[in-house]
Amino acid sequence: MSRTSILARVRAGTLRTGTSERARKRAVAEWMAAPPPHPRPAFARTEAAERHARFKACLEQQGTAVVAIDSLSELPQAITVFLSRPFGSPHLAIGDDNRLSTLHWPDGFRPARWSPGETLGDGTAALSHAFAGVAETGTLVLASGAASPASLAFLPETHLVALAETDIVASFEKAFAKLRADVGASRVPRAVNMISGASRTGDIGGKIVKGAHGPRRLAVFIYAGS
Amino acid sequence: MTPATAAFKSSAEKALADAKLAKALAGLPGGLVAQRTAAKARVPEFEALRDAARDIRDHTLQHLDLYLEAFAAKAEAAGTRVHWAEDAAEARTIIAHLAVERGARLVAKGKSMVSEEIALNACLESLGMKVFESDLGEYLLQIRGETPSHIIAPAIHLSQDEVEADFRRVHAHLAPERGLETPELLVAEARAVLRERFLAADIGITGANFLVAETGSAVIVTNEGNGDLSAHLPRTHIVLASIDKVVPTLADLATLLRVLARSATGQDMTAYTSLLTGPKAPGDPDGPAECHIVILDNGRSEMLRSGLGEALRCIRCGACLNHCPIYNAVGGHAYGWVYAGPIGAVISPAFLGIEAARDLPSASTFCGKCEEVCPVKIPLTRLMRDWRVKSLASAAGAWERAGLGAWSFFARRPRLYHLAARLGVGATHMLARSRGAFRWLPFAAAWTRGRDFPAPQGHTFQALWSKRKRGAPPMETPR
Repeated sequence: MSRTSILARVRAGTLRTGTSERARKRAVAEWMAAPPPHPRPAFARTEAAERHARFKACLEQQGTAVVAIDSLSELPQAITVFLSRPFGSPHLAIGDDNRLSTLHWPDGFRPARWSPGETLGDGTAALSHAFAGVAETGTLVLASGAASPASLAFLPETHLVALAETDIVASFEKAFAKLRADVGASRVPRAVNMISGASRTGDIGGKIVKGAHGPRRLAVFIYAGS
Repeated sequence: MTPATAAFKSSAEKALADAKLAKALAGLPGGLVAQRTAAKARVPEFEALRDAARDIRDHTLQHLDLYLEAFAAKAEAAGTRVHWAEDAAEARTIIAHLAVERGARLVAKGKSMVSEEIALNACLESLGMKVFESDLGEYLLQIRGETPSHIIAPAIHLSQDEVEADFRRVHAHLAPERGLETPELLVAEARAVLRERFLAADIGITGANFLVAETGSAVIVTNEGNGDLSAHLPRTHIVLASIDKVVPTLADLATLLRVLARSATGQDMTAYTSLLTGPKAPGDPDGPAECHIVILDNGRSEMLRSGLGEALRCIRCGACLNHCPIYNAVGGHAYGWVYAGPIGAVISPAFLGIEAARDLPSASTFCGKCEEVCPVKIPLTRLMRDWRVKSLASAAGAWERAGLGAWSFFARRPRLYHLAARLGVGATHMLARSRGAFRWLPFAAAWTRGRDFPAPQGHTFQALWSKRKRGAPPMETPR
């Protein structure tokens, strides 16, 4: 069987004189349990206010719109303002997320529950609630599930993301640790999408154009409180 | 794709004469190279990150069998079916079976160099399936019947005008008078055409940038989202990944992500980095109903065994290509196979045999820039030099061996060497006496085609030096 022969050849290639099979297994178990602490840049070790500033600066550098609001209850108003100017009132899709659906939405902006198979596409928007924001690169972390279908991050023309300020973490490591703590080590969500800006391509004439396959626009609404 | 690595010299010559290609490549220093430099400058700890990235890769490769087993166990626990393929043929068979069993007619492809390596598209097409490349660059190549010329910017050799002409030819169902004069319009058209196909695709096939042993996840890094649409929308997702893609934990992944995009495009992060773990779980509204991972060896375990293990550190950022003076001059197609540039010169001979790819390790000035920018510090020049040694020892190296043998015979006999040099220098000086230069020389036609070859001035350096040490005035050049 190919598995056996591949692993046997790999083993023959990796074996060094003096390293016993037991020592190798122990080394792997130890690394898996706790890898050696890799160097972490200073910008990935930020605290409080500096962390939020880094997060926003990175988002803006990618061309992601950033809207700061005082609480989640202000989200409908902020989204209405953001969407109505350029787009009128587009179709707005959300997942099965009570945090979002129970907010007071003005007429014409009430989001509709996305159902599998709905293709969204140009002229539509979708709203997701991010699991975390990573300050070091301005990365939004979305964990897929009923409340946050992964498709919402890729099918619409405009992707809106709500994020609690308290969920902004300094580094990728912190985001992964939060994933472990909140979701559990046994089962990671099917898709963990780390998003750093709108979809883009440089494949035609070397010029960066947004909206290659995924959303043309990305906006983050950071709300204070939790 | 059929390897054309043996034709490197003639392909390179053709590439050098290609003005259009030269124009496309001229964008590299101010583009990807400058962007990487700027990105690195924003990270004072970049060197420490490269060391850590190298150490993670080395540790993983030294325990690769155990990490592959750990990854497979985790992936299977998450509901992914793991397949193992010895070589390209077995990987094609596995994927073809999966596709045929499911009655697939339309296959969405995310960008995958390994799928180029195993020539997957041709295989699926021969079974009557339609396969579409969804990375925009790969799509352009597919409609032109070309192959990638760069790891991360596969269509870097194409101009905007060529893309417009191709779209008018291939998207014949669209209004002929439509405007396509900007990159934005071209991207919008490709987006619309490919979105329809994504929604209709039966199977999505992607590569993986990494496989995480801790979680059993495949990690896909893109800017366009082509990998994500290929992975989330079709009913079946097949990941094709080579054995070297494994990383132990998410913490290790974090370090590798910090050097990957910065080295590749100069972005801090690409737009999308997705960790995909298993098929749709109960309660999930979307995602594939089934997920398969094909783990491919195709000669890599042999590379580990034969002292080329360091080349398997590679995370396919393309920085060594962007910074290579040879790649900058001839582009990717001249290398004749999937992997171009310095990393291609190191790994292609391992895949294809040194006889078929013997010119590639010589396609280097050994300036060392590739090593200087490699995020995992692969000793590329040393590995190329090792191949040169092997190439010289092979049957095809007979003439070079004879030439070097003759040289070493004289080099080890200083008196004879000086005598031969004096005779040679004197003779060539005499032959060129009127002009002081040659318009044509045997064995040096490639040089004299473009410029004269200056003739020696009559005395060897050794002779001039000893004369000078004796305090004599500089010798007159005999006329």
